[in-house]
Amino acid sequence: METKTNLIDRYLYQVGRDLPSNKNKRADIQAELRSLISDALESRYPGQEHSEEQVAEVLKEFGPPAKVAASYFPEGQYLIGPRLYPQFRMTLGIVVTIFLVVQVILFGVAVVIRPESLQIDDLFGGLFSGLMIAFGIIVGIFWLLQRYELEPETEESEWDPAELPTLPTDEPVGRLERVISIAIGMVAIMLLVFMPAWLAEFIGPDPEQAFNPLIYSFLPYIIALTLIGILLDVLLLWRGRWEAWTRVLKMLVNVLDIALVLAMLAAHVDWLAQAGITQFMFIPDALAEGTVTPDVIQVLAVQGTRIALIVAAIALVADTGVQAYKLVRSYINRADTERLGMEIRLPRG
Amino acid sequence: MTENNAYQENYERLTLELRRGVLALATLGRLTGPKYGYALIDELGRAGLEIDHGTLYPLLRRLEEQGLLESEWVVEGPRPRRYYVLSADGRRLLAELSDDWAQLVRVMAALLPEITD
Repeated sequence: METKTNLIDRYLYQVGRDLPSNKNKRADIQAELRSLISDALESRYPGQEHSEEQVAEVLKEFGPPAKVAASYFPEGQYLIGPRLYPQFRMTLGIVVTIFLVVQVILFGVAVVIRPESLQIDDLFGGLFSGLMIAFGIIVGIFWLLQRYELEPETEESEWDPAELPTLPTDEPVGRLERVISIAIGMVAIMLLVFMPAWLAEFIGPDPEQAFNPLIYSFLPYIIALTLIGILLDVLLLWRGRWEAWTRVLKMLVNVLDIALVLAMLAAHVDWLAQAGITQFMFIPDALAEGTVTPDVIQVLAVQGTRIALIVAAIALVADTGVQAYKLVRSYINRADTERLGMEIRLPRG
Repeated sequence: MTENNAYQENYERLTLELRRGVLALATLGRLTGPKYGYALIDELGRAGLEIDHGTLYPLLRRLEEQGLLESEWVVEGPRPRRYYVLSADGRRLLAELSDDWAQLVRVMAALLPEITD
């Protein structure tokens, strides 16, 4: 008889561990289960005395303790259950977007006002750990809501069909591309901002001896456009799919980039012309002789940059063309389907 | 072979859903007089509605929490048993749901295609 009660006690204790923390409720469920187990035992094996094997058999039928507890408290099996999940996703999306935007803006401000105070740690370390903390806090809040079966208040205001957002084109924004683009942009700004200091260490206090003296004069524009590009990427990440106005924005930013690239290209061509170099690729004799002076390095660097700029210009023009084409095609598609009276079916996310 | 398994899984899932759908009504229907959990499972099983412990007992608790059942512990013999019975709300709900059920049966008869063997 000792063993029989002990087995049931141990079982009920395990079930209790996974039940809601309300003591009365837990004890009540356990008492009920005890009674039910006894009923099952007696109906299966009549009489008061039962062997351990018989008890074990009945317990097995009831199921593992965790599962039994789960049936009494189904919502507790989730960290964030299906009921709360949509709001969780929405909250997460909003917070992360705001966070990113604020970080980029702060970064931009720091670049303009106090570039010396910037460190690489500040940028990526701060961003990453900040995001992790925000994520953790939001998960924690929703876990609590789930645990105590609360539901956050949501305003159900009357929605107006006229205010539905404009139809996006079918194409989703490439998330990975955008994130990589943002990362590269930030690294680029870091490099550009630190370049004067680094070059001064390497070459000496005279920045005119820099590898490419022309980049200096364009520095503020390069930084500004890179920042704008990053903000645009954040915007695209937020919207998720390309829309007509975001395509137009991208084309505008591309046009600004092209203008900058062309201006730099012109400056490079001028500089090389003034140095007496008119060919496309000029290899100074000095290189063959083995004497590499800063002048030689400069010439090579400026030529290299010129080629890079040409490539960049071509890429930008091509991308702008592609954006324009997709924009036009999306309008044609929409016009077509409207004309034919068909419903536009957007592919799932 | 795998097609058969997939089919079998689908069948079992949907038939379970059907049974789950009627479980609450069946339970309420048998509790016009007080009964204890195990007896109820037994009764439903013998009538043809197989339900396992893990489904019925939590259901009884939920119905009580919703005010449709009343329960009390009755000590008979060596140990207490918990008896459930319909509350006033429960009786009213049972009557309405029973009507709904009859209606549903008629609707389904009209909707389901004639199966000719």
